[in-house]
Amino acid sequence: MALQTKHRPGPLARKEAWEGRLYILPWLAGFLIFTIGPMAASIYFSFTKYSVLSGADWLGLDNYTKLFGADRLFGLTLYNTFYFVILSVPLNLFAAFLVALLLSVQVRGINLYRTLYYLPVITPAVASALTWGMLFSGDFGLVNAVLQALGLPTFNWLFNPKITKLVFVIMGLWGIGGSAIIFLAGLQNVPRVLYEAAGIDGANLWHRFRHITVPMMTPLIFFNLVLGIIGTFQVFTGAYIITAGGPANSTLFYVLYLYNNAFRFFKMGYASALAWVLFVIILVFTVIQLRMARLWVFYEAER
Amino acid sequence: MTQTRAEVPLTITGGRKRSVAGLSMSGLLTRLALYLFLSFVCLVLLFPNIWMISTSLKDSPQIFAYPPELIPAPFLWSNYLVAIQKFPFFLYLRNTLIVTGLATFGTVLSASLVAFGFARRRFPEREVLFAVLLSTMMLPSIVTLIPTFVLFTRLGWVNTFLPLTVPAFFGGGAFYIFLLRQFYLTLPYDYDEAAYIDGASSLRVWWEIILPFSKAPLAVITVFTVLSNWNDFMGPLIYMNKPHMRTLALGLQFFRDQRYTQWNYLMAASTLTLIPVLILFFAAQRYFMEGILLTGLSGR
Amino acid sequence: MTKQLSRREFMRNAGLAGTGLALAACAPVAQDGAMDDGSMMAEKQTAYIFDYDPTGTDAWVEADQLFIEYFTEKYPDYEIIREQAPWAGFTEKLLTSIAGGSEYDVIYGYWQWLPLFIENNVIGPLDDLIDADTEISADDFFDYAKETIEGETYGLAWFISGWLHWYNLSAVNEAGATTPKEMNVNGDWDYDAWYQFAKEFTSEQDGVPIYGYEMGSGRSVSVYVMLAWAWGTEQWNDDFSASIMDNEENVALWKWIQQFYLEGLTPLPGSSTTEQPISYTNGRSMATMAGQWYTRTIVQDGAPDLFDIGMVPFPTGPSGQYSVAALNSFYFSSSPGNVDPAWAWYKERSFSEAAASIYASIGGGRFPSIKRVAPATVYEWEDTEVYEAIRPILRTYRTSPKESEWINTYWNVAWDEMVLGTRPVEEILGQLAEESTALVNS
Repeated sequence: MALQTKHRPGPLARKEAWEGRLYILPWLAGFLIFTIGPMAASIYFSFTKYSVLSGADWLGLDNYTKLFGADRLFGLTLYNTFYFVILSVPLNLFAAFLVALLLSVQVRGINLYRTLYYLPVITPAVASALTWGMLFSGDFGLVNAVLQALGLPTFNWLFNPKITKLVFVIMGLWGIGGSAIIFLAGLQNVPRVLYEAAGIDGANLWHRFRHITVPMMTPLIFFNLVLGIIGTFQVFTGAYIITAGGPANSTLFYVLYLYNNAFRFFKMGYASALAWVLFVIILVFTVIQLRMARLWVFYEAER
Repeated sequence: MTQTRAEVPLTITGGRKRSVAGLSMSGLLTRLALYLFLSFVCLVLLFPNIWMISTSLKDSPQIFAYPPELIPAPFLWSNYLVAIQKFPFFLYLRNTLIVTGLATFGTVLSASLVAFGFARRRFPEREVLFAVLLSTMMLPSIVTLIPTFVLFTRLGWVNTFLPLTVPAFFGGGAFYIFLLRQFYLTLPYDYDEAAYIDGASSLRVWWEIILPFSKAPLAVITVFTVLSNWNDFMGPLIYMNKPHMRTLALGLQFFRDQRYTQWNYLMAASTLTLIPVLILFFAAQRYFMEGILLTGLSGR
Repeated sequence: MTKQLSRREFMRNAGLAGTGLALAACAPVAQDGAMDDGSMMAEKQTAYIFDYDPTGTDAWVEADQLFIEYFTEKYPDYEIIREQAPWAGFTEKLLTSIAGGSEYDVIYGYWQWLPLFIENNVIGPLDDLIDADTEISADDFFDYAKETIEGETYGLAWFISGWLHWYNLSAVNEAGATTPKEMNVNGDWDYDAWYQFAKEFTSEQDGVPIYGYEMGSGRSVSVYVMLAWAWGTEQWNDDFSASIMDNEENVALWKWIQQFYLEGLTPLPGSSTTEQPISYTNGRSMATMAGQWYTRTIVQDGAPDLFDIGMVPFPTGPSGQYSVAALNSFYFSSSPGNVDPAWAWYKERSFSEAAASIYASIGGGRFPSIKRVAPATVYEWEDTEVYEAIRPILRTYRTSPKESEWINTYWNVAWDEMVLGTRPVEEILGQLAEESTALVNS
């Protein structure tokens, strides 16, 4: 791209470094005061038997050996979660980008549409739960009614272990408003001069999209991808409210199982071990993302 | 290079009137098709909300009438009055506004400073610390809930709004910092450089260059912060023992007990609860949608 | 360069020191602080209660207010401090508070937690308190009102649900059939009659099914046990060392239940926690099982305007006729700060005559826990004869040592598989028994 910056010389580098540290200090201080202690405590708990009702008893590696050896549900919940992540992350990213493009069009009343598209994100989860039951019910749900009218087969969506995870993938699409808004905000930061330059070159719509819009949006695609993976691995609320993990554990996602251990079975130690294993899994995926980012993410001000 | 630098700000701030993409999509038919498509997707997306509002106006037997009925009969507007009398709605609203207001102010201010450090200042520890920042999002908060509560207990902050507001002033959380950093990285460094050459301090660069160009992302994180604080239920639940310090999200839980959910009142209170956020979003939009993209239907 | 390194080192050391400090700050607060508070309060005696917050349920809020007024008037020297949480988040609130050093003299109980609370020495037995009390003795209580583990009583229920059948009396009369209640009086109300009832009343109206029976609650272990007793079995052996879910009786019972699902006599569960629009109260299933707390739901859903309410005890099985008493109790701290006010509150709240009448409006009172308190009913369509018939056959469910984990991890899954009919019942129950036994012995 044309706007690549050149490296600045070094004399000011030290001042710049101290300024940098000063700017991030609020976060660093907050991290040291509010975050690192609880994180460290949870590492400690992961090596203990800890019911919260009484003190923690040191167990050594027992929680971890149980997790990798004896716990059938560890594997199952990982499978459920990976299944969901693999389908949901790309689908949501793609859909959010499309919706953002659609909503970026300037026509009368578009502001209203943008607000309405965001509405599902604002809606309290307890309030949508009832609706989902209504929509996907096998006996009388609207989804089945539509399918029937089209002459397609119907399902008992929420009680067929083979498709319940898909229902959650579909329900997840209602929440794309958040990512779409991020894209939408990004789309307006694409400098017009780039389009104008391209217009002079006679590039067509697709070319402009492919060679200007997409590269300029890569930092935000990257953001939504990384956050999508971090967030989707921790999918919880929907399964907690709507199916409680059922039927037959088909929607028992990793963090729901972790929650059950912590607050239903009072096994906070084991839950902490589960949490740190998930931490490592997400970390690996994120590090891969960060590495790959160098190949495809374009930063205007990369320094 | 120098030429570009001088030109860019002008173009961005002043160039929005013309449709740069110059498409011939302005035909009436195209626009009609667009509206139809927008409305169709909208209807699908809004179904839960439509159902929610419909339920909020029904009497209890009609909620589970079979087959399901969309139109309330009769329209019980009184449900809304009953719902806000089930718990001290306006007191909870006041508390929610205090918590959300402070937390949002703290987050937007501190996250934008921290993100500036991560995006536009170089220092040796930057990459490592950034990785640490990201990693704080990877541990499910379920297992840090107890130790965090203990920490705030020791600080003597239980039964105050401090646990819900003070941490916001310390960066406000990795999500917002990361998001702003990504936005900042899309702004060419040439702007900053020009200012530094003119002798500007970095704080001034942040204030006079970065912030004005970041209205869109700032509006976005404002909306996100408001939303997450507005709907936070676990924080107020565990830190507030005194009933008069509770927030709206907590109030919504009072319509469900062990065996029975009062759906109509729950939906009425939920509807009332989301209206302020909706208004905020509508108002914030002009900041994140001043511009146009590649199409720009110039039919205004 | 050296300068830079040392600076980095400084930051790292500062970070480590910070971590250590922060970690120490997060260690659970030692739980002896509240005791001092207790001894310091010589003047006014205070009891700390962790209670359910009924805000939103008007009748309950009113009852609570009345009760507090009654209590303060009777015990002017006692001060009650209640911390309350709504049902959503109740455990989180309780656990964080306990970790933060709060001590409660009385805790609103939930039967699935009982074994864990005992194991962690959070709550203690009530037997000594009952013995020391001059106003009451252990014999005053019905056996079904006690939450007893290994011979010690940990809960005396303040609310008892006696489970029964609710059926659509109008539909039965219209069909000219014998009502289940009549059958029960004649001694014909058995499991075959139950099945026939479901079959007879399963139909279709305008293309949508009407189910003969709504079986969903049978998934709850404490409800299922009632059927198991009638078939001569339970879920566990006597000392909870092994699951007996794979025995002949359980297998036969599960097969009996399964036919309701496979033959479409009962709706498939669409989801486990969201309410279902197919219910007894809107006339879409002709009968269901519930405790007498269901009277509140029936009224709220407007069912008495739609059809006549029929009530009958559970049928007689091969081994007899039973009803389960589902209990709600408060639990008492194992190391209470101030025994007198706490026990006064416990007693008054759980089984005083005042409490019985005050809390009748939220569905209690039909099955009193204490013999001298008379049963109370609220609605004129309630069949008191049926309550009378149930009282002698009430029993309580024995809570397994790892109740919550067992239900969530194994029981519910096995039940779902039975409903879906994916594998033979013998196989499902064989696996369930094996895993359950392993769990209670782990």
